[in-house]
Amino acid sequence: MTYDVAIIGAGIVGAACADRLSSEGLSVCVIDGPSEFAPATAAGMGHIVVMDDSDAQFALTSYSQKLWDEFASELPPEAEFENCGTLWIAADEEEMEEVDRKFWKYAEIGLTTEILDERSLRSAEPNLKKGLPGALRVPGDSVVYQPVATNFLLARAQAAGASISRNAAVSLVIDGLVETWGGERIEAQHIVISAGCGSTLLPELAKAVKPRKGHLVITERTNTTVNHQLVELGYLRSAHGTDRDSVAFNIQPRKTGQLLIGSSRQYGSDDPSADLEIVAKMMKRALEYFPSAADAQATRIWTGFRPATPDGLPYIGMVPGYEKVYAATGHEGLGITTALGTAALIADEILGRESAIPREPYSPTRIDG
Amino acid sequence: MYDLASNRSQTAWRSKPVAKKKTEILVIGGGPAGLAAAEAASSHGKQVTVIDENPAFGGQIWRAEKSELSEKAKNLVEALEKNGVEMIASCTCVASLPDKRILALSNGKTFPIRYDKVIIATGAREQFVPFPGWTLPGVFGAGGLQALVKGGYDISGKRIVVAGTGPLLLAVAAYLKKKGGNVILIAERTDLLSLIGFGLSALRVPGKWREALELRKEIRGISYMTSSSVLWADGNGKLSRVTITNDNEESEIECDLLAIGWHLVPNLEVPTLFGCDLLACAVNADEYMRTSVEDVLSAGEINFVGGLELSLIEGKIAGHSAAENLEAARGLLAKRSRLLTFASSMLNTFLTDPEELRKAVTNDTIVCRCEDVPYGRVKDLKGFNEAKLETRLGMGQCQGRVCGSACEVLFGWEANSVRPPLVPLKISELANFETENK
Ligand SMILES: Cc1cc2nc3c(=O)[nH]c(=O)nc-3n(C[C@H](O)[C@H](O)[C@H](O)COP(=O)(O)OP(=O)(O)OC[C@H]3O[C@@H](n4cnc5c(N)ncnc54)[C@H](O)[C@@H]3O)c2cc1C
Ligand SMILES: Cc1cc2nc3c(=O)[nH]c(=O)nc-3n(C[C@H](O)[C@H](O)[C@H](O)COP(=O)(O)OP(=O)(O)OC[C@H]3O[C@@H](n4cnc5c(N)ncnc54)[C@H](O)[C@@H]3O)c2cc1C
Repeated sequence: MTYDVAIIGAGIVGAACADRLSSEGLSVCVIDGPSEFAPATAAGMGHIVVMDDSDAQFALTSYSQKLWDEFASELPPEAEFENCGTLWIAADEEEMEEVDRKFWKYAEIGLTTEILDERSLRSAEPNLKKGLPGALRVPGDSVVYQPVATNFLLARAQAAGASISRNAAVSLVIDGLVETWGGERIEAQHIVISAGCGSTLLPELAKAVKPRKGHLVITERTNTTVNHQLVELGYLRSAHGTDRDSVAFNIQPRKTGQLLIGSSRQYGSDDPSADLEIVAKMMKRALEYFPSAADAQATRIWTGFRPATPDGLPYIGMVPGYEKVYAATGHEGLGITTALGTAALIADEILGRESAIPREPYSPTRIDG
Repeated sequence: MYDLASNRSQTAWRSKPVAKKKTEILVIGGGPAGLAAAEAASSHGKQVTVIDENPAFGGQIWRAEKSELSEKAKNLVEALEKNGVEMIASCTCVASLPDKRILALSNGKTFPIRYDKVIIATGAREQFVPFPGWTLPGVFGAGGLQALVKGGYDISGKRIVVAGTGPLLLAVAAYLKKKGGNVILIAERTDLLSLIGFGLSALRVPGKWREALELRKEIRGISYMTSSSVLWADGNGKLSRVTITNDNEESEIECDLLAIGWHLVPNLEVPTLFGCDLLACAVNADEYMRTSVEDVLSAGEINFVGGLELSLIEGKIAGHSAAENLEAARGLLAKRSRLLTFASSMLNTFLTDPEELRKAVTNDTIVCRCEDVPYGRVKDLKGFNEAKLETRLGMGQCQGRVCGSACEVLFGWEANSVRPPLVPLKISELANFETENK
């Protein structure tokens, strides 16, 4: 049979596309298999966060956040969706100016945020270091345990008729046809490539999508209260740099009472083992902001690879040079947040509809040469 | 009197945490295999350091034996002292670092140790197979209960059922009885005919039959059932009763303690950190105990779960081989191979069909006790990783050490989720990590 849509990759982006497209009544086939890089979705932090590095990022993240809020009531409790909000923490007066700028920027699109001064920051998060000048509170942000959310999306797609094949790594994509390493051929009108770091199977994407390694550390259950996802504002600086290894303070409260502590960004490494030097830098940074974590026991350290693009925006839409082959990849450190928005944009494009936000900024036509 | 437990009488046994960060031969694990390896390596004049995560050396079998320490152990300890082997107790290998170093943890502090060759001898632990009621207080692993009693846990007058499979059951029952426990039953899962077959093969190994006779004497008076196993345990907040099946007949037995002994499974965390090739859930080492990784050797129960004698001989071979004296090692190969043959026949005798074990489990039976995950939530999932991500199984304190091998038995899943650090480390300690030896 010929499917309406074949989706390559069953990470959170592929899962969201499968759910969306099958709910629109299209016949969908999801093909997932191992690649050089372990799935990013199993490794990520699950912070659903509005970010404003660029207007396009701002539009996609805030649109996606709305979709998550609608989706939340359908999620099973094991998905641990929690609307805890984000605190963007300023380290000094200079960064307080950034808090101010962010406040007005978010207000422009009608997103309510709150500027916390030293005192209100302290009462919001008593375990942070004393003397921090303040923070921006973004109450609409959330956290989710994305492995469960991803499986939920896949199961719902399946219930709506989608077929899902696992252990079927794709070797070749041409117009209308997908072929696996096992020699299986799947015909489809539309083909969506949402294979994370493995999206390089399309030569056009191979030029642009690069793995960016990250580390995370989880602690045992603690009694240390954390009420929001806490992120240092300097994170923006660290997330922007492309060549240098960087670390930033980022801490997520888990429903279990555990603390999930991040994060690092490294280019040019394809080694999945934990680098204890980077971890040490991360932990030093974390303790500068959050000294109360010093005695928490870290039970596990792991790494993941974010599918990164040169300009920090994902590729969503038809790939030039192909007939109806679409990219849905390159989400770097925001793929959990933006999976739902991505799926909506892909569905709109396939069905020839207008989208809630302009699609053009994410188009793969910007891959040069 | 040599005292492995208190480390008091000899300087050589004292724990010196950050004393030395460089050694020619590093031995990880100071059980019989590790100690024998250290003795053999140091006999060639090599500088040897042994670390053990336990506060006392000696491994599972010798660790807590104070006055009862065998001649063999005493001689070994004496030799180590004479050869100037450095012993660091309460010191855990938590990671393998580049440039032939490990990251060690002692008294809450981490530090690297540099080596030329490393011998891994981290032994084996008890396999747990979940059944209804196995998490009740009063239910123990057979070896675990034995260790507790060695450490001073009082069982006098307690009614004890010993169940599971293997010769370990008899040894444990005899020990518990000697310590005042009221052992009312040994329930051996294997059938009588297989046991007789095994008994005959044991006769071919010198010394084994005498051991067996000794044991027989010690457990006289305890009722012993074959083809018998525990179906479930219950009690209000703690164990008070077990239900046993014996040739398909069920019966209830009131008791205070249940000691369950299955097989032992190699502690593969450390060899996994080093990237050693594994085969059939053990380290794949050659006859000179060399693993697939250069300068990394392994000895004892991480290679094959075959008891004390085999561990000792493997330790010696590893020690000679690490000291690059293959000649000395060669003389021991024939003996090792004999012991290995015997150990394999024992393993075959007491092999249990996984289907049998699964039968006892119900949907509410806890599989992962750290995270409270019942059988019903994981049974339809496809593998260990999926179960982990979906249910948190194996993500708790023990990092899958218990439920990993349980899932292997129940579902045939491979639980390959070892990551450094092997034990939880404080965030402040992670922050202090320095790669360079200072
Ligand atoms: C440390 C870390 C922290 C993060 N924190 C956050 C956060 O807080 N918030 C947030 O929004 N995002 C976060 N992310 C980013 C997020 O995890 C990723 O952007 C997102 O998971 C990408 O999803 P994906 O579906 O595109 O890719 P993946 O999850 O990688 O899925 C791709 C799938 O495709 C399969 N595949 C690959 N090649 C082939 C092939 N040839 N044939 C068939 N199948 C193939 C893969 O095996 C995989 O299953 C974080 C990432 C990391 C590493
Ligand atoms: C519970 C139990 C009861 C047993 N009872 C008997 C018995 O009655 N009779 C018998 O013949 N055999 C018995 N055995 C088997 C016997 O103990 C073994 O044959 C023998 O001890 C194996 O020696 P080994 O050195 O390989 O391992 P072990 O004796 O297990 O020694 C390994 C040592 O390595 C240490 N270690 C582990 N990981 C690390 C790390 N990361 N860093 C530093 N150190 C580490 C441990 O603390 C331990 O001291 C028993 C085994 C177990 C598990």
